[in-house]
Amino acid sequence: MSAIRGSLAIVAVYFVCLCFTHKNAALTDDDDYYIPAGISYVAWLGKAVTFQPEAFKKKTIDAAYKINKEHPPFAKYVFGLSHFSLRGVLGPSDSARFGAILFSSLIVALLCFLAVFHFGTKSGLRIAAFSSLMLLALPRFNLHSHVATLDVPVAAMYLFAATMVLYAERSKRAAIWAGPVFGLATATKLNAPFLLLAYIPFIIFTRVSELRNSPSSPRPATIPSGLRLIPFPAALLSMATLGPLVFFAIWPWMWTDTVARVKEYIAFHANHYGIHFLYFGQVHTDAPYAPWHAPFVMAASTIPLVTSAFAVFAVIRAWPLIQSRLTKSSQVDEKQRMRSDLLLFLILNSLTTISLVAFAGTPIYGGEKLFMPFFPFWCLLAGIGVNHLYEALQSVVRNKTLKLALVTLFCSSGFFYQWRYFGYELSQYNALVGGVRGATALGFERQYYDLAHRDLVDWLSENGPKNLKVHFLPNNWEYVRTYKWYRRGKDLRSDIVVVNNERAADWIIITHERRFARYSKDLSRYRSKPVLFEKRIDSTPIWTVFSAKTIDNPR
Amino acid sequence: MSKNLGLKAGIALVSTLWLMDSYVALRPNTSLATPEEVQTALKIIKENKKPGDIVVHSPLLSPIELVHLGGLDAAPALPSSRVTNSRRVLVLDKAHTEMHGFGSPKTTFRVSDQSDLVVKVYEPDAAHAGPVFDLYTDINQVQMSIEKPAGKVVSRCTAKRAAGGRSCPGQPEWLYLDRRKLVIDGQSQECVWAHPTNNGVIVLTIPPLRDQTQLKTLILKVQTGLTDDAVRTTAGGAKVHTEVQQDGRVLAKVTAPNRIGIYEKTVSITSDKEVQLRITSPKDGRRHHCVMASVEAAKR
Repeated sequence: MSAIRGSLAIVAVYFVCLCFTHKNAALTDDDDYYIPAGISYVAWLGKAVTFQPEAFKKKTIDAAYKINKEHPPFAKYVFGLSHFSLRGVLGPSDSARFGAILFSSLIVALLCFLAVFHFGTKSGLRIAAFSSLMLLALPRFNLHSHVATLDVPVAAMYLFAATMVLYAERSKRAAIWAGPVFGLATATKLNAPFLLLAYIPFIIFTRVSELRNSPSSPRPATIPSGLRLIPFPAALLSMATLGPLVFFAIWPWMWTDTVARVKEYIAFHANHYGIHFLYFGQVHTDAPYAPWHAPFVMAASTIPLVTSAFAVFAVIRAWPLIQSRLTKSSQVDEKQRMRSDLLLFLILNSLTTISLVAFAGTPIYGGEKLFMPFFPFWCLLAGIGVNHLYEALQSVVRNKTLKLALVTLFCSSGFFYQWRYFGYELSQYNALVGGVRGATALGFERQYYDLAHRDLVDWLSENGPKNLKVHFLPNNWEYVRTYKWYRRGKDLRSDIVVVNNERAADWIIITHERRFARYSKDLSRYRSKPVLFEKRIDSTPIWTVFSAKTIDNPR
Repeated sequence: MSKNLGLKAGIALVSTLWLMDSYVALRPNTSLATPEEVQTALKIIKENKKPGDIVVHSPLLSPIELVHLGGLDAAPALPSSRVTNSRRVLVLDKAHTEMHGFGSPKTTFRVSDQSDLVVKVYEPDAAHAGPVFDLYTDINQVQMSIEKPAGKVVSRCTAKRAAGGRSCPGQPEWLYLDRRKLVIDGQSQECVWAHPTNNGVIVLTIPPLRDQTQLKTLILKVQTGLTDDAVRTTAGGAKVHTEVQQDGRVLAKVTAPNRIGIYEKTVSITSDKEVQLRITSPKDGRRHHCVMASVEAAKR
């Protein structure tokens, strides 16, 4: 099978799987920010490309881009475009959210490219297939791949920029393109520029080793003996020049009052408001934020154990190769050099993407949400680990199909989680903490992001009395925002309303989120009321519907 | 040979992890506790509960099970170390997945051989001889009333408040008795909401503590403060005064100025009479004021 055909097949399978599950992914509290922003930006774009004179006036630009101005626009353009293209088929919100599937599929395409380019067609396609399978089997990443927020888009664009800079080691054209791609990544979300935290050490490690191992390399007379200049990579130059140009070019909000607006943008993220985060039974909101180890614990307790085991195995196996590439560069052939470059780059990026959240001193919240760019790197490492096993099995299992079936089975444990937590992906925890049941008892949150679960929407539509008024506790206002999309998309019966006034509600829905200080009181106030329905996963209540009146039966 | 051994060990490890993942993902829900089991647990709790004890229930308990606890004051939250260090805590837990963060129980009661429910009793660490009374933890023993003008009670805050705590009939909704977690002096503080009112006095009454201790003389520490946000957003905001009275005598006065910080006084009280914390301010605009108070045995 050719590399391109094989890669297309892998991407197609991944894309189709996401499409099939798209209508089951719950709306989050962020969708209501990014979907309207995407619609507004693309509406302006429509005016701009048709050269309507008022489009380029400050007033028009500000009106279009004021909405969600705290985040750059690139992913929102994609959401807006997919909204306008698909709203007739998928409805107003799911059409926009389709954009996230495109970004997620881009990740898989990039994984294919990286694997095939560095490992050759045969091994590369196998690695790509294993990595994509394990990415698809990450329940939490899967949910984010359906949501109109910036986390999967930035993971995709971060990986795209990383791919370009790594490819630029061997391609001048890629070095030039690295800048614009980096600009697009930066125009997706603020964490993209932190790619430099991995790229700069990578440059230093590889260039220093090459200088050390090639005595003939030029050294200007002004440089003291023992010191040599590290060649400045063309990709970095492109990132420093073309990157900012692209960033500003595609964000019209920044075209006027630029200095003030850049300051405002940075200040918003440097002083991000606290968001509740339950960690080992303690709620962290304001400084001091959750401890540094929280992101590492969240990753270790949510990624299927087999996936992490394979990734760690790949790191262990990679070490001697990286070591010889860095210490005996001249003795290492190009094939080995390419592979070790990829492995070093994957390890550095895995470390920096998660460490950034751990050590930046900004709020830590939302489980895995903040370190979404980590997952593709980790899954590619895991895919390489699986491939090691596949190759090692050569001596034991001769039958290729059997061998492939065995390693594919090993990659599949995440699908059991997918099946169990279907529609509730952010409740998933792995065996390390005993599933969501163990995690809840341990003092972790059983869900976050104010998920408006689809099966609850269906249940309300099927069982709710006419003109039903519901109120969510402890965080109703987020559901006021998300349920309006369900009503607009006809997913929810049109006579069902989420009311602001708790006393006006017929039914109360408690979502059992302990990070809200009022949750205990809410539960205490309603626990004597009749329970109409409850969703339990792994013996853990996720949400409970109460009748606010003493006598009230569902239709 | 050694390569094959390594391969076998690797496969064994991966298989084990795969089985662990699969088991946790595929195991069915456990059945809910029966009403009789919960009522038995409630009986055990009532038999073992002493004044000042805290009751916690597992976050895994469904409201379908909790309904049988009746009016028992219990929450699914891990108490702060300040509380666990000073109070007995009774935990209604699920035996198959126990709550984390309490240490080792002194006693464990199994509801029945077939039941998943257990009641565990945790004693405070002797090294942390804690308070006899804590305003935040023991809020259910506190009475709140509003006097307007001083001396004339216009409202007793006994009405159930929708958002929790107790409200004061006939008074604005921002006057209430409830626990809060607020940022004061840059830290999240557990305190009791005590917003002052114009031309009036908020009175928080701590009952006599002779049931909790045999000691006659006790030490009361009162800490007050305005939320950082209220200070920052209210230039020229008024001071809030908290007067400590026992038996009609003023024992101390703590003043929270419109500055970020916590202000405190420590006074000697007796255990046989109630104590009043009387909160006033010349102007109540955005005075998001909170009080912490604890009573301990006097140090010898």
